[in-house]
Amino acid sequence: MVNSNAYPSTNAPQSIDGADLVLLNGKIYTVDEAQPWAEAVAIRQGKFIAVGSNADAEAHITQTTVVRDLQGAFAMPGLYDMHTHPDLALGPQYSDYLDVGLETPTAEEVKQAILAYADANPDREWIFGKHFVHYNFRKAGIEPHRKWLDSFIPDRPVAIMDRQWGSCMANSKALELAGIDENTPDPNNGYIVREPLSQTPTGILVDGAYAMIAAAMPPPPQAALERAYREGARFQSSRGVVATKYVHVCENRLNALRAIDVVGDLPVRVEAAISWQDDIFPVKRRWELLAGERHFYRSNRINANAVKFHFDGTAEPRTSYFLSPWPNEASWRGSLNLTPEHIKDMVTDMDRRGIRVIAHCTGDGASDIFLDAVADCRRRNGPGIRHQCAHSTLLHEGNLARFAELDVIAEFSPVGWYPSDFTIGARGAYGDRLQEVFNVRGVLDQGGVTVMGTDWPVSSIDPWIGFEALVTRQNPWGEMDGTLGQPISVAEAIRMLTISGAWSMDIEDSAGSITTGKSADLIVLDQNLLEIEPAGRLHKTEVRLTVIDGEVVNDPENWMADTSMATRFDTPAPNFRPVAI
Amino acid sequence: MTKTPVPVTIISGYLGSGKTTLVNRLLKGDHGKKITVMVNDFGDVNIDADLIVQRNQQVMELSNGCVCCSLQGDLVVQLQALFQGDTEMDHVLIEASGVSQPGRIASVFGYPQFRETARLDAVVTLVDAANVNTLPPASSGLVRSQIEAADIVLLTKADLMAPSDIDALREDWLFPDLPALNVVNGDIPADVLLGFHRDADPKSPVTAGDHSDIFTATSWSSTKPISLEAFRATMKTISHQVFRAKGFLNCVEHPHSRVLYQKVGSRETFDLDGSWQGVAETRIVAIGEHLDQNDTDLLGTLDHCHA
Repeated sequence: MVNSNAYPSTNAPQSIDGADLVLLNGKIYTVDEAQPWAEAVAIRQGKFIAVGSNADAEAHITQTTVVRDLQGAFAMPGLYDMHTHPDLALGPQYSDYLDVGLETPTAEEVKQAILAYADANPDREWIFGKHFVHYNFRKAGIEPHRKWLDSFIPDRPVAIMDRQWGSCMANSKALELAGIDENTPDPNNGYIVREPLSQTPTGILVDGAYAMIAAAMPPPPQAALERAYREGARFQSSRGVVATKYVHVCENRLNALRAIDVVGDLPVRVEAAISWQDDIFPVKRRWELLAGERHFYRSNRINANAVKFHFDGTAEPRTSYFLSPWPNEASWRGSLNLTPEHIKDMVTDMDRRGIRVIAHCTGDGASDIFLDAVADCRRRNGPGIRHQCAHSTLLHEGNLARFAELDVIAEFSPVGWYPSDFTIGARGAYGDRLQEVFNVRGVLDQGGVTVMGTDWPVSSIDPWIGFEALVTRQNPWGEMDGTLGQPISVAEAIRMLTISGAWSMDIEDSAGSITTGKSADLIVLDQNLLEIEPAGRLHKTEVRLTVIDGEVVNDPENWMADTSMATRFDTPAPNFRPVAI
Repeated sequence: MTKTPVPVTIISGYLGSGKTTLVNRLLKGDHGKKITVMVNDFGDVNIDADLIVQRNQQVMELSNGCVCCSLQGDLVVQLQALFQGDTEMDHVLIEASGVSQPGRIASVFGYPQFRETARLDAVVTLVDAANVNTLPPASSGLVRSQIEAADIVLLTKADLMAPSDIDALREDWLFPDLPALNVVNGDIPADVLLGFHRDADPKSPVTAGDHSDIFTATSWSSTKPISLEAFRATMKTISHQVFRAKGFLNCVEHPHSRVLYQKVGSRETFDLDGSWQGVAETRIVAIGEHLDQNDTDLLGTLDHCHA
């Protein structure tokens, strides 16, 4: 959010003439086809007022202008990370959940820790945390059971994970709030342990079953969400990101984002997608938000004009929805969480409201139906909102051209599109089709617009890892040989991470390239991306300066210290880069 | 036609505890059953060449109808492929890696997707009696998690230990309700460990088979209804001595249906099994190891369970 005394409008008073900031002697790659390279820029009131030669920019220098010599450094527009989740990655660890604090606590120690936590946190309804150890319970002759928890804490919901995170023990109150009883069916990838014959849950929930507890729990506290977004966004900004999509938000999350925004601490533009289903977390005021309350959060940094839904599943439980049976299967094609008819009506309805639909589609069957729904929406509504196919892990050959035809954003995430234990392990079930995953090349060749999402915590939120892998399709650290899928060029990847991202947020006319009149978003790097050998090197790119809307939001080398351009973000950014092995 | 779920036994144990010896014996045994074994490493399974009918990188077929395949990648995916394939199987044996958590593997058999095709019979954990006390802390934690998941413990190399040391080891490491057998060189009969019966009917009573020198069968019956709760409590007190048990219960809680009871090690299941044909009568048959004259009346304690 900008200072409220500086909102520009048609008849608003102009500030004094001249640039706020001029950067000279750069190798500035503009991503503007009319002028691919520039030497200098001049920035005023958040916009580029000159892009071109030193002389072009110098013409705007006045007494108050901050002038810096880039000394030949490479600069380009800021990056767009179009699918990620700092709240899911950081929220739980900042939530001050119960931590027994012992590696192998006895049952008595678990009990004392729960009681102490309950005493210390009287305002928290739920007591959730880690961990207990089945072995120690059995050794003591105690059955891990809701009745054991009920015996000392019957009135507040309690759920505690076991040490290996394979199961969770919940008390009767927690089961009641989660709606788990003898009639509750088991999820496909887990089960509710039940009493013999009566089928009453014992309180032990195995694997996929404990997600039901997570769904019933309140979201992480506001302070935890605020800290998660604040640190996540700050890290993104320090790595050159100027715009991002936080895909899956609820009212609490929007409140957290707004709290950061109104004090000027949000260094990235955020499109927040309201969760359509309650499977990640419940959205209590979903329809109020979709009907219009979302505008309460709107600023030049935040919009909540999107919804996110999970159309199909994922690779590991083999629930990605395919057009043909899964490898080694006679007929199993995966599963859809919503009917195709639901999607059609919903896309058309959201489209009319000006809301972007971001559809989680990992299997080629899911994206096929989603594209059909958009086609149906276009027939009914005419041209409209650019909807987003999220992940796009496997795409059918016949759909590659439809992204361009239907104005649908092909989002590729997570950035694990290189060979690694994770990729092979998590997506090994795709079998031979693993070579077809994340077909960025295919969509680009058919004229479609592609964007990248880091999908943290599924993969690292550092955008440069995915950037390198896009152009090499190799493991950036050399941990595994070989390639996965078809690479694109560095220039194509730069477009994908800049102007295409802006297109996917409907701001390609006002941002996404270094062009006179556009938002002054720019990053200065330690290497020229178009000259280096990318393999093993591109992901190590260091960001020396990040500017968004003409505001310096990341200045690790203190270039702007003691000037009017000095950044408010003057403490070191948190570091969420993967730990080098 | 609905298939009977294939029983699955998970064999776990720390490195060097004797898993491979046991798996080899079970594979080569003359039990007449088609066992499919999933192992981590083929190289460890030392099968006589003349037993092998066919062999490729992942599957080894034996002349006695057994099949050995190597475990790789995603267990859930491999199991789905196995159960949907044409392989005829009487039993599946999974040798868990020495450093794995067998509980995580066992959990998979509770997933709805496997209920029609597979039934976890037992998790058998081998514990190297001679060396378990000398393991470094990280390894002993792993052994605890293997014991935690166990329904039956086999104490290997117990012949190298004094009986008092074995007792101390049971006290230190195992649970009160967990049956533990001393085993030398994997010498435990497959029909007892895996629950093979001469009769193919899964509801047929257990027998000690041809190993009555080690295993003793005993039974208990009553036409007087019992209390399910009391029955469970009583079985818990003698659980460590009962290796397998099976039978029907006539309990007051379910007056109109017989309850099928099965116990393998410390794992018990109870299922409603339709109405009684004729007289409602609780009848339990159990086998235990080396039950002496007094122990043969082990099930006599069930007399307290009458409602």
